[in-house]
Amino acid sequence: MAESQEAPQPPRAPSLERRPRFTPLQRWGLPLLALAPVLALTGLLGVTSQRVTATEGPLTLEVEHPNRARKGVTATLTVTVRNAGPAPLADVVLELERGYLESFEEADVEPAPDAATQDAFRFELGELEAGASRVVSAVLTADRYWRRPGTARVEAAGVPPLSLGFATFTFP
Amino acid sequence: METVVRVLFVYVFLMFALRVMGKREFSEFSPLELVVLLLIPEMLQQALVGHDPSLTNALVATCTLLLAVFGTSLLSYLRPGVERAVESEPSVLAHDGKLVERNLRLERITPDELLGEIRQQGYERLEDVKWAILESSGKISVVPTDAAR
Repeated sequence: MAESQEAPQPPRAPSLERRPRFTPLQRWGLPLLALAPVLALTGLLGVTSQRVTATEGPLTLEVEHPNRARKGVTATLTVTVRNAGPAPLADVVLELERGYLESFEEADVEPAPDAATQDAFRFELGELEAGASRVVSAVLTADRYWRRPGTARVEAAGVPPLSLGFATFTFP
Repeated sequence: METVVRVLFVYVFLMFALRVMGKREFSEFSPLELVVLLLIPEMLQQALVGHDPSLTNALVATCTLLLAVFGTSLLSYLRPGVERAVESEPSVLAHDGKLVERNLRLERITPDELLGEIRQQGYERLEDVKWAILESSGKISVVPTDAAR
């Protein structure tokens, strides 16, 4: 067998100006398909957290909640109760809306609630020294999508109750 | 955002890897090639979507991949340089009844294999062949000589 140095070439295809055309379906379908990656790149479809804070006298309630979550992906809710005053606060009780926590498929709450009423889980935080804070956190896994609102409420002896509303939107 | 980057990275990597493997490798699967092709998605699945099983993530990943495929096809059409980088050029394996050995070696095709392909297309001998060309798709086209028609 003799090896060819220069491979022969078959007839070339005729040239044609390369000018793409799109069908009407492609003209509106392609931007539609691009929407999901663009929204993802801008972070609008991502799992995000938001922090809301309320203060009443020496008592501060801070809730860092999943603002946007995704079905099947864990997110963390952190509630911090702080005594910003110069004196200790007695009988501090935190309540987390039961409907909010129970709307998740899984909610690992730390520490475990001391009691449960019809509407809320109660956490008896006891006495809070000046400058001290207590944290209750929950690792949440959503199985249903859409918006779920929640409320955190804290009260202490001699201080008006303080409550904060928040919400989590879960993407499918 | 992470999913878009992951999908694009894996897409470019796979496109490069398949291009390096050559057009012949994936046109007809040998058992070994089939195993490789079945294992690749298993290994890449986690890398693509991470630990997010949500429909949103799957939708983002799928749209990213489809747009990458469409974008590559469009760029290949508009820019011949991209076309050459993405798709291999056809290789002439035989011409006027003679083997083009250099190309057979480059494509790792034996004369027996080529003759088998020629027979499958209804011709008996290499002398019956005007052109045998390994196309970009991995298929072998056989054009007979006028006498063999």
